[in-house]
Amino acid sequence: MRGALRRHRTMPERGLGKFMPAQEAIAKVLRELPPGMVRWGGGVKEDMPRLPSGLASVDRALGGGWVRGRLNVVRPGGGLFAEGAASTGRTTLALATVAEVTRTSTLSTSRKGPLAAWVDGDASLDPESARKAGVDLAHLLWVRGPLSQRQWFTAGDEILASGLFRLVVMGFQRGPTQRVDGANWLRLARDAERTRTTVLVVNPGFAGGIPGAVFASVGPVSGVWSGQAGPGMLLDGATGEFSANDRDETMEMEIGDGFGIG
Amino acid sequence: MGIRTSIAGLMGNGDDVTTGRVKDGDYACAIVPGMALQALLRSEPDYRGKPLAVIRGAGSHARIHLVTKAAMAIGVRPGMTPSQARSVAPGIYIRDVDAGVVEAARMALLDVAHSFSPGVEPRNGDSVILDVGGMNGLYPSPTDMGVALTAACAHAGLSIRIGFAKGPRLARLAAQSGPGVSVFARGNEALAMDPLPLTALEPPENLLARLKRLGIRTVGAFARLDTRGLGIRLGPEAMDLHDLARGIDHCRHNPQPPSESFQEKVALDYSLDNLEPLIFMLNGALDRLAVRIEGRRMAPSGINLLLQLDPDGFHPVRVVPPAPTSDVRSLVALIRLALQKSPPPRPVQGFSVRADAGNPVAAQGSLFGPPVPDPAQMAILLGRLTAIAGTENVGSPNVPPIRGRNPGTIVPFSPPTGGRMTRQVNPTWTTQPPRKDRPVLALRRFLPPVEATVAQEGTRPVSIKGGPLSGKVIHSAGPWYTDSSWWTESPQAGAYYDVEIDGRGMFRMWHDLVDDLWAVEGVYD
Repeated sequence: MRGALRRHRTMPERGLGKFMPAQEAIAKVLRELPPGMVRWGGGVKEDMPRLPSGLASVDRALGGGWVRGRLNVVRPGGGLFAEGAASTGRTTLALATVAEVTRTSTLSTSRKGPLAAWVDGDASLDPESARKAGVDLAHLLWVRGPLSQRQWFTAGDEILASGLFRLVVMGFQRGPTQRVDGANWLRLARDAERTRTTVLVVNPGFAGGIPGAVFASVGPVSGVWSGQAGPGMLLDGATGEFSANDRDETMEMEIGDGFGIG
Repeated sequence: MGIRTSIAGLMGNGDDVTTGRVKDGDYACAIVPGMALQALLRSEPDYRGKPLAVIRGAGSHARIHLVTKAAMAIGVRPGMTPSQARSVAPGIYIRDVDAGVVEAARMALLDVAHSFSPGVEPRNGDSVILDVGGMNGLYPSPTDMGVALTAACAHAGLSIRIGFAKGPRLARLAAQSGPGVSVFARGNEALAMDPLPLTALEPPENLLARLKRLGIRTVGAFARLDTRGLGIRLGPEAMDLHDLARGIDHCRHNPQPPSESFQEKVALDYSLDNLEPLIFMLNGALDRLAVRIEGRRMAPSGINLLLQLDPDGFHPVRVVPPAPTSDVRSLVALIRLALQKSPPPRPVQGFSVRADAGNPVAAQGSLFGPPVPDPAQMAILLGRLTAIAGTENVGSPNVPPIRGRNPGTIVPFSPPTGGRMTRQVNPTWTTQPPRKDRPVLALRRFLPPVEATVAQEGTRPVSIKGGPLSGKVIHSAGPWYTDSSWWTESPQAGAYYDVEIDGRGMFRMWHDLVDDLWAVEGVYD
């Protein structure tokens, strides 16, 4: 019976050397790597340069504006992550920021001109909405889809790497999916940081996995209607919430002037 | 590179020019030895380092004309027949050279020369004469200029010999006198030419034969002949050559204007039936073209590609980048897209590619205005984006004055430079800045519009079934009737609605009254 009881040897006794606590092992690995190869990713610091969004309430929540040199991800709020046609205010918010960038006509501390780019994966940008939002259309570069997921990333990467634009909006309603290779996002993040370009990612399809991204959420929005039901009723605007940094701000949107058809 | 000079002092002040005499300026001659062989190696660099022989003539008259060093090393010599060459060296590559390939190399030499001097004259099909008088401010010595010219030609794929002298034909003689840069100093031309063979003067065959019978084999021996009676005994051509041998050049420099045509050609002795090797060879040709065009401070503004098909026929392809650009990568990407859309019907035996040259985009910034993007960088970026998304999908959004159901168009991206932004893409619309903190509710379009089934009460939609847009309509505005294109065979008539679907959002809908179909055109987002 005594022989039937086998004593299980612990790991150090199996001749693998002295067992090191996890932190010491990690520190040892880090010390052996070349300097500068590894650095801590992290949250947004207060003193990071900002790009104003054009909306005071949004800038308040963001702490001054979108973070330059980072991917700023605008997600639909209210738990809505499904692909669909939800009104959340993301496009309105993105166009307001584009208008803020393209209409800057005075001397700016930025070394870039008032240029913005919109990589539109599914050709959903409405030029008239952009005009009514106050965008100077001549300063907006539109890469219109339909684009594949790979084309969308490649176009965004080319624009970011050029360093010619102050703002790049990456919009793709029908993608990319959560199975996107993280290397694509990493490349975009590195180019954004290197060229100090502000990136707005307007996309409902993914939840995270983007290195160094700054997240904000907006919506859902509900319509503001006026008049009697029937032909006399008009859509005057919409209202919703914007959230960032655990701070909520109300966004009120209005229908632009001259909303004509035909 | 060997540099041979007699006595320095060539780049001094020239004599006054007198009518009817040789211009006592300074001239350079760049010769491409073995032009046909170099042209072939330039268009098909894979042959470099291999035993290659170029033939001249056809059929039973074909003879080896030029050989590479590798071919010489294995025993192949000029003058052999192709059969003899193969029997001596079974591994020899024997090619004849397409005239278009040689012409492209000749034009490349001219383009390089035009980037150095405004007065360039092509000579003998394998050389150029440059008027270099007064260039000592740029190049302190002939050696400096020779080095620069040699490097520029090497960049264009050509290896040259250069000679400097006080006359065009003397400069050619200087170039023929040896490899590298050769300089005939003023007053010492005869001394420098003394040991050269008589053939260097390029005399007519009958004169050459007569002089050889007289035992005259070198330029120096010919120069020492008594001038008296020379013309009577040997003819007027001998007089001219005799003066040349003594350093007197009666030749006039006849500069030609630079060509506006930039063309490269590749002629293969096999067929390509796969896109990738064709793209690889196109890349090389475009590189060579871009080098030539950049030397003239221009950039390709359009590419015309003509594929030669096996066994006969041609397949033309044209691509136009959004702006003149020397970015070969963008141009190759555009050509690849065009070939994928319209592939050649048969294998390809060769191609010629001609580039239209345009001035690179320039921009003048304003002292008090916003920064201006680098036009060259912007042109490269637009070219690459065009290769990704297509020519019709890269540009600035535009709102047409008569929209109907047109969602908007794209116009070329050309941001105004300098000053304040007052330019409007469509001057009929003004841009009113919205009030701060109340952004304009934007429409995000569905392309194509999403078809839906709508239940109505009168004209009012009350519920919608359209995939993810299904739901009860809690608010609706409309209808706003519109019609357009009534003068065509496809008239449009319908009504717009703004609706809010419970729990989904606000949408714009279109009810086509002609076909009684409903569609969701976009969502207010």
